[in-house]
Amino acid sequence: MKRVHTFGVIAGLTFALLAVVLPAQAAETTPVVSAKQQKSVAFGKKLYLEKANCVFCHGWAADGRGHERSQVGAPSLRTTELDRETLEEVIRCGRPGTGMPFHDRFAYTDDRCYGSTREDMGKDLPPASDRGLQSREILSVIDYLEARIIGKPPITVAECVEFWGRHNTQCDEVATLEKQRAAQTN
Amino acid sequence: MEKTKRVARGYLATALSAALLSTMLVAPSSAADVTPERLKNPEPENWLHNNLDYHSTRFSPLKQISKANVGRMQLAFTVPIGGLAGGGRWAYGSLQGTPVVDNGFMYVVDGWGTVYKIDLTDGKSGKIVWVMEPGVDKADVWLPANRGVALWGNSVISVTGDSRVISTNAETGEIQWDKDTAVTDADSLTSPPLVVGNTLLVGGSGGDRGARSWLLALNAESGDEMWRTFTVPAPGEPGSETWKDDNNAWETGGASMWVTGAYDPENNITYWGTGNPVPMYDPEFRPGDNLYSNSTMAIDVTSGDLKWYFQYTPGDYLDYDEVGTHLLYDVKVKGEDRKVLGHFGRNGFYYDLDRNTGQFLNAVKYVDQLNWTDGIDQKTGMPVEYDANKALQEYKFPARRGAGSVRNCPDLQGGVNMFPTSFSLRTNLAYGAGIEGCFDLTVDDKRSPGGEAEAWNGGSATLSTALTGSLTAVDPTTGKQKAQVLFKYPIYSGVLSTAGGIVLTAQMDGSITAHDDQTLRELWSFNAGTGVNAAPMTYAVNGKQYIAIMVGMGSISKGRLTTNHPELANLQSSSAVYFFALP
Repeated sequence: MKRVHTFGVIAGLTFALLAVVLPAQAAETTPVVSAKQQKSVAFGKKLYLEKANCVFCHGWAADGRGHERSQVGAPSLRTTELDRETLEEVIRCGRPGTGMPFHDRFAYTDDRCYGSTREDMGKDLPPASDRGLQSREILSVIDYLEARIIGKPPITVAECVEFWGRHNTQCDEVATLEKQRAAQTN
Repeated sequence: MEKTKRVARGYLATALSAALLSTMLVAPSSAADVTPERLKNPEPENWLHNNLDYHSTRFSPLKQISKANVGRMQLAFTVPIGGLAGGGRWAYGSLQGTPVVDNGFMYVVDGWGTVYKIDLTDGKSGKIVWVMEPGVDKADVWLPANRGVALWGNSVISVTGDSRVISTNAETGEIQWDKDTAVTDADSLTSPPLVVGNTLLVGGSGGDRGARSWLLALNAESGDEMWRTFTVPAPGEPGSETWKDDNNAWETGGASMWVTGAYDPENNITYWGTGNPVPMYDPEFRPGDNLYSNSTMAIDVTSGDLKWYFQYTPGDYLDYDEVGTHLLYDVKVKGEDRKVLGHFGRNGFYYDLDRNTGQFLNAVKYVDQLNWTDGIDQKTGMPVEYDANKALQEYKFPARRGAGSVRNCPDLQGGVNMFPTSFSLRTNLAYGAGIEGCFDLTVDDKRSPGGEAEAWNGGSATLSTALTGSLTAVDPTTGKQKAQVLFKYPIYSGVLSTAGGIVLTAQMDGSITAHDDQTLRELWSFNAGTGVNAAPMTYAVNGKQYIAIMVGMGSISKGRLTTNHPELANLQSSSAVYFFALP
């Protein structure tokens, strides 16, 4: 695990140097680095949608427009100011006192999360996520959020079609939102 | 039984000759057409309606399996089907349906609207004859919930989450017509039509995302629309005065009819329950009683006209939909012969109404935990705190903007929710099974229509206690609870009663149980190893009685279960029909 990580850093550095010195040749190495990143982003999106089912509460665009059947109240991640480390902690440990579940199956079995066990948390214990996430899955979800969500402008129909791979009723709702936005700016 | 068997053979012979005469090529029909006459008087061995019969009794005359021998009942076989896989915004699908059975052939539907025909005629296995996938984009399905199919003629009628009604050839599995019923994008369908004569009565779903719901009559042959009656009146119509807002809340008022209704052939009236007003937790968005939400609507089948209504929780803010089964029965109430409509309210009370007039007869608390009102006024049928002059009702713990969290019981999901109930013609008792628990509710107008969150809830709700379950028997002649059994886990299933003197239900830990129909003492149990969201039913083939139930749980029932029952956190789901019989 650690070795892979080191390799990634070295590869990244090499790429950065090449990019500065020899932009023409560097283009050939670009896919190697970005393919790995792209794979993680794509994997993170799949987890966001399916295994972790973040979409249910945060909405497909992570703008906080969750399903009516969710507990509702999940924040927008497009406007989040949380850094990578805090995002990781929140996904791993959940948010005490809210509906945000913990995804580390061993959270609160010891003091790894906020220094607290299940007993310490009492009624503030976050719910357990249904299927959990391993560490590398959590990192991919964050890669996805950083690449596609955090700091991005308000959602568009084009983004919706890209997310789902087709235009569906979710995108009809976005079209309505786009119209409302246009009306406000006019 | 002997008589019925002969009748069945007669049908087969007729069908066979017809097939031979017509083409000499087509295989003989395995079942006779489901005629209006058969729908009115279903044979004991068959289960032709979602709720078994027009009176929605779910009381089967079969008695081979009885309270004396049910202890020996065994798993006979299982039939895995699809439906568990997630899609769109959902991690999982679900199975909520009640199978129908016609002469040894079963029709079931999964949460995504896929219909399966299963051949049960060898008595030892279920063989899937055909699968009709409706071609729905799962991302367009609001809820992966589907509660069954209807039978008419040689057709199987099913619905989809994107608001389509589909007629499928029962022999071949080929779609005959496919009708889009949506008025707006918010409309959805989750329950099978009720078939009366050649009319399909279809109740709209999607209220909680802002549909203004309706009951729709379609021609069963063509799918053509005959009439559509809205459950929320437009401005100027009777009842519109109960929407006192300036938000045009009626346009997205909810009150959906998401459970199949009942029918009385004597007066040609169909009875359907309606869901909560929308936004569900924010009454200040929609002051008034909000007719005809949380009501029973009695509607003339020919004209679609409203004959009477009864509203259980006016100006609701507790999500107490009253869509659940309407049991029709004739009993003496306070010594007088009455034609009654009985209903387990999601609000925790059991109600008896006169089904010809809507007159309130009596009500009794049937859940163990209830605090939202001090009781029901036995003259008017209204909660004792109800004040017709108030725009915002103040039951015991009212939900208000800025007032913080309030705790109410039963839980927002009930009580008895859509879980089918039963009335036994053997004991004259009504049986309901559901949830025991409470919830904490906070109003948030940012989550009402027009708010920045674009959601329809008007607030948020969290579990305040562990959900458990109960099965209750109510005596409608006295308006009193007759027996109750409490369970460790909540019930999202439903109830079946039989002439054999047993009552069956299932809990969320996978326990399927049979009980004595007088005492509710447990007589038999089987654990399926996964939660159950569907009701048990029974049928007979070749003279042998079977109990069948769809096994597998959806995201919501599991999510709410494991919050306070961590021992079930790793419960996995499945998609299967289980069949039980005597050895």
